[in-house]
Amino acid sequence: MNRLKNKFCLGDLVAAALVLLLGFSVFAVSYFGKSEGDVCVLRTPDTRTVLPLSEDTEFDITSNGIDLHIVVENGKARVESSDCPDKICVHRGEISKSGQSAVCVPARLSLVIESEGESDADFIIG
Amino acid sequence: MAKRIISSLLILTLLFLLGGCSAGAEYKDQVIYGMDTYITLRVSADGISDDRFDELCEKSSMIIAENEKLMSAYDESSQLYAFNNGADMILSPDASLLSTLRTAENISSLTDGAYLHTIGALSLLWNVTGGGPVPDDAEIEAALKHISADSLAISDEKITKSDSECKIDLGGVAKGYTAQELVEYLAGEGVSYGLVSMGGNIGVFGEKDDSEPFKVGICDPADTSKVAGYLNIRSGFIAVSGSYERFFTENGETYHHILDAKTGRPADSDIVSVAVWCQSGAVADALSTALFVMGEEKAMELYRSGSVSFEAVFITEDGEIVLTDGIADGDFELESESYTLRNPS
Repeated sequence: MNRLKNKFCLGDLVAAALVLLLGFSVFAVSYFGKSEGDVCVLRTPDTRTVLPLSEDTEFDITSNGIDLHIVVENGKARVESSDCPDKICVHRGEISKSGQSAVCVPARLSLVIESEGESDADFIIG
Repeated sequence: MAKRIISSLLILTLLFLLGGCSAGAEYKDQVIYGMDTYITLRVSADGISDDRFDELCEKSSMIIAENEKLMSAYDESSQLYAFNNGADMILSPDASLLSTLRTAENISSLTDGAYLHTIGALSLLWNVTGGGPVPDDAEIEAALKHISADSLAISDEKITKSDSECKIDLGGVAKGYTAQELVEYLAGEGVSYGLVSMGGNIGVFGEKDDSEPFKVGICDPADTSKVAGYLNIRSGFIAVSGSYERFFTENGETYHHILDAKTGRPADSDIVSVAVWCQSGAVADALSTALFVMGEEKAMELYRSGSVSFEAVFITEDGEIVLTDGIADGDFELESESYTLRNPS
């Protein structure tokens, strides 16, 4: 029993090293990196479209009679332009963190960042 | 010695692993449109079927629609619209409308009109969300004559006004009130935990599976793709007011939607964004507008007076974040390197 308590074999060291490696990997991804699984979910009254933040794209869309231009670029999404009267969706600017959203109320269109892994926050406001 | 070193490293690793699990909750989400904004219902996914979630969302939509009908100054079929456009009184006012108006009246009084529920004539004149245009000085002076809170008389039986051109605007309080009603509804229906977000207001309820507080990010007003910091809360409501989203531009000048009833123009204070945290949704909503207008110094005077209980996070135009004294270590996490934390003045 004393031998088990007081001595480590090579296997213990390898196991410990693996746990350390796993731990630091999770830490590094969580704190320093954007998950590859982060997506921007675009919802209109009739559609739900998943846009990976890792793929740049831009397109026109008409929702609830309002024309908008959506851009996904460099891991961020935004409403580039909108025919709506208040432009709050355009003023919202870029969103990139899980929980953030940009919404055009007149168009009934929302962009929401979602993460397949752990989110940074339960919600982001302001 | 080797055993101690390796044990320490394993504990350290475990701490890193735990640190990586931030929000730590599984949610079902629904976006609902109403009250000139969008509402996000985010509830624990545990034990709630899709059908049950649909039921909760449907009832929530009804609550939002009812409150919009009661409190919108723009819905032509609402009592408030009629009151603002010629009717002398509202007889037998609804309990929700009364409650919201009384909260509005109280915060208006406590903040010396920095938040003002009778500002309707001025907000209609500016029409910021409609894109302006900027009114001239004579128009502003004329509107300022009809925004006194003293011209409104509120009782259980009726709401009357002594100035026929006085118009009620509950835009700065009704969303917070409704967020609280939705939180109370969802908690009352047995949802174990969740949150309701509504146009710059958020309310949380219940206890998450990991017993951690709710982590609420506050948007960086200088770069909305980033977060300035996180407030960690276990209960209550947060309302954020900022000048960076609802505005229009004319001749190169930007005009935002938070109006100062003393000047008749968009508020010009040393704050670019303020988040108010308290136990009432309506109070948080109204106070966030008031504190933005008041600026840091007067806002802190109100805080220290104790006349209304709240905590706040101010983001100043100088790139500083100021926390009220009741926000304990760990309740706020600074995220953006663009800001420095400073003690209140």
